[in-house]
This record gives sequence, C-alpha cells and structure tokens, in this order.
Amino acid sequence: MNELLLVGFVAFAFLLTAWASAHLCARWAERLPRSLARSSSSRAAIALLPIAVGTGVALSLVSPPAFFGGCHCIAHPHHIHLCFEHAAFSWSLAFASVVAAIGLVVAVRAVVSVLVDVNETARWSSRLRVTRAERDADIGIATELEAGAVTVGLLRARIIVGATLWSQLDETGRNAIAAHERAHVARRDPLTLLVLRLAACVMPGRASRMLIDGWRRAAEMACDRAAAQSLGDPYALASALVECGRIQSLEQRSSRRAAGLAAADSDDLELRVSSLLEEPISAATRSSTRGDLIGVMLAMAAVAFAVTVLGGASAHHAAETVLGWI
Amino acid sequence: MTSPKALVKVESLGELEASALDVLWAAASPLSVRDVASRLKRRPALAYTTVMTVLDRLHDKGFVAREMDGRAYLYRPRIGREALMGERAASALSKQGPPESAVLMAFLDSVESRDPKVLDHLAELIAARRSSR
Repeated sequence: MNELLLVGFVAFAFLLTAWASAHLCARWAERLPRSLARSSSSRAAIALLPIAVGTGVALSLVSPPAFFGGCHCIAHPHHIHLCFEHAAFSWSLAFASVVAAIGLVVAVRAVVSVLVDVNETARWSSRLRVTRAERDADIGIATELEAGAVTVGLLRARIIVGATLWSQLDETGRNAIAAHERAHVARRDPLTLLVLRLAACVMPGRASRMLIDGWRRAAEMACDRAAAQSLGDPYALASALVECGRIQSLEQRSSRRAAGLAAADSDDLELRVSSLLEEPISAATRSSTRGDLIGVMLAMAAVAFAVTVLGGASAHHAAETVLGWI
Repeated sequence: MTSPKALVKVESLGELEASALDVLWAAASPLSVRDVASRLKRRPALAYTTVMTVLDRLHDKGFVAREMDGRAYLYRPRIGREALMGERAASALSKQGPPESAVLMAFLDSVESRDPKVLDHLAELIAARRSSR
C-alpha cells in the first residue's frame, strides 16, 4: 500500500513537472532565434522536453539514494522518505496520489481521443475516391479535396492532392507540390505528429497547441526547403503556395483548425513564401530525418540525465523536506 | 449505361451542359448536335456551334459518349440521371474535408478566405524575383 502511494507520488511529480515545463517551453519556443525557430528538430525536441523533464524529476525523487551511497533514511529520521525500502504512509503522499489518479484519467482520455482521431483520419482518407496522377504514380488525385494537398498515413504515408489544385497548376507547380509532400513522406511527419500529440496528452491545452503548431510550421518550412532544393527552383513552390491560397480564398470554405491540425493563416503563407524567396538553397538546408531523430534523442537523454543524476540528490532532499513540512 | 467513376467531376457541370444532358437522357436513341439543338427549348435558339461546344465539353468531362455516324457525331449519355444525383450527393457529403483533428500534414490549410491583395502582392514578389534571377 505504502509503495503504491509512492508510485502515485512519482506520477504526481511527473504530471506536475511536465505540466509546468510545458508552459515554460511554450513561452521559450516563442523567443527562439530564427535558425532554431525554423528547425523542425529543435521544435520537436522542445515539444518533447516536458516529458523528459517530468521523467527526470520523477526518477530523481526516488533514485538518488541508490546513486549516492545507498539509503540515508536512518540518518534522517525527522521527515518521510521517498525510497521504496522505507515507504511509509503519509497524507501528503495520499493526496498527491489522488491528484495523480485524476490527472492520469484525464491523460488517458486525451490519448484515447488522439487514437480516435487517427482512426477517423484513416477512415476519411479511405473514403476518398482517389485516382492516380498520370506521371506521378505515388500521387493520388481526389475531387473531394478541392484546394488541398495532404500527406496522410502513419506507417505507409500517402500523398493526396485536390483535383482543383492539381488541374490549376502547370507541370512545374505540380512537381513542386509533389516534392513538398514527398519530403513529408520521407520525414515520416504524420508519425512524428502522432508522437507529439500523444506526448501533449500530459500537457496543458494551450501550451501543447503552441508547441505542436510550432513544430508543424517548422516541418512545413523544412519540406518547402527540401522541395526547393530538389527542384532547384524555390519560385515554383512559392507560386504553388500562392495559387493554393488563391483557390482556397475563392472557395471561401473554412477548413479545420484544432489541436492536432495547425492552420496556416495569411501570416504563415507570407512567412513561407518570403522564406523561400529569401533563403539561398544549399545543401545545408536539406532536411535529414535521421539527423533530426538523433538530435532529439540526444537532447532528451541529456536533459533526463542532468535532471536525474546531477540534480537528483537536491530534488530528492527538497521533495522530502517539503513533504515533511506538509 | 455506366457510371464513369474517376472521370466525372459532378460539380463542374454548367447550366447549359445540364440542359443538354437532360435532352440526351430523355431521348431513346443517340442524338446529333442538330437534334440536341432543336430539342433544347431556348429563346433565342442556341447556335449550332454553341451546342457542339457544350457536347464536346460533356464528352471531355466523361458525361457522354459519341460515335461517328456519317460526317456527324451521335451523342449518348454515359451516366444515368440517378447515378449523377448519387455522385453529387456523395461529393457534397465528402467535401467536408478531413476530420477536425486529423493526424495528417496539410500543404496549406485555410481558416478563412485570404486577402486577395496579399496574394497579389506575393505573386508580384515571386514574379519580380524570378525575372531578376
């Protein structure tokens, strides 16, 4: 029973830290220097940072005695101890466990909601009547998707382009959109989006939206750069973006904007077009999925290590002392 | 009469095209351009070339089939009235786009119509950069 309360306290610490650090990360992400702000790997790392910090803090609360010469509970009998060997009942631990249980219920509901979204997205895409483009076998054309182009599918991503947009563009424009969407497929962006949305289930709504929107914007710009580089012509994609915006504007049909599906408003369109026009195309702009992944993993590991091992003893003693006061 | 799936863009059917299609549906056998022109109740009457253009468009869009009879084409519908209504209904239903929180990457998502001036400005900017390259 007492061990269970300790687990509850660890969960409470994880949720509280992840929640608080998500707020900080969302604010921090707004002040990033331009190069970092436009890097999708940086954005992904920042969006996942609250999970790393929460995990690190939760682990540090129960693990430092093992790291630093064993349990010190005997030497500190004046307050409760956060180690499984000497777990004792405490009302503060019980309260934290109840809060954690509520928080976990909310998080599980959010996870279920994301999984439902995944299912609905798959059902929606399977209902589309898609025909293959004449020259690009990997591009599907759907009349139902008027002015859009999407990459959908977690493990086997598909590219679907709206028939109106496809028919309005010349061959260069079509190649530009195809290259952009192929970059999404190569980067496995739908899968990354799912991971970020699952991670966001333990974060407050506004902060998680800001973090995911930031990553999505950076991912779109990374794919813009990849497309411009593969074509050797940034203007083709810029023109396709404007054409897409024009068709959407003519249709005047509002689309969707929700937690998982960030929207590109006029500012985003301007930002993407001006970015394509201003930034020189170079090999350095090539998006590297493997590099991004390694960067994110290293950043997460570094944060978790720093919080758990280096700051672990202090966090452990601080939490014990605070619990003792309570 | 078949339903030419992938070929038909139901939303792109104009008023004249719909009228011409009505005439073809009502007829028991394939009709020439002159037959369709005479059965279209329009005042003033449509020019022969106008009706020919309309039927050409319907053929290009996959709504009608045609076969040469002497020196003129005879047109017949490729899609039934009911099938077309069904296609339209299905199209209208599915045009709601992906679900609100879809897990996908959209090329450019729209919330509301954009300012045409902004789009024009961007287009001019691109043209200027392209020409100065």
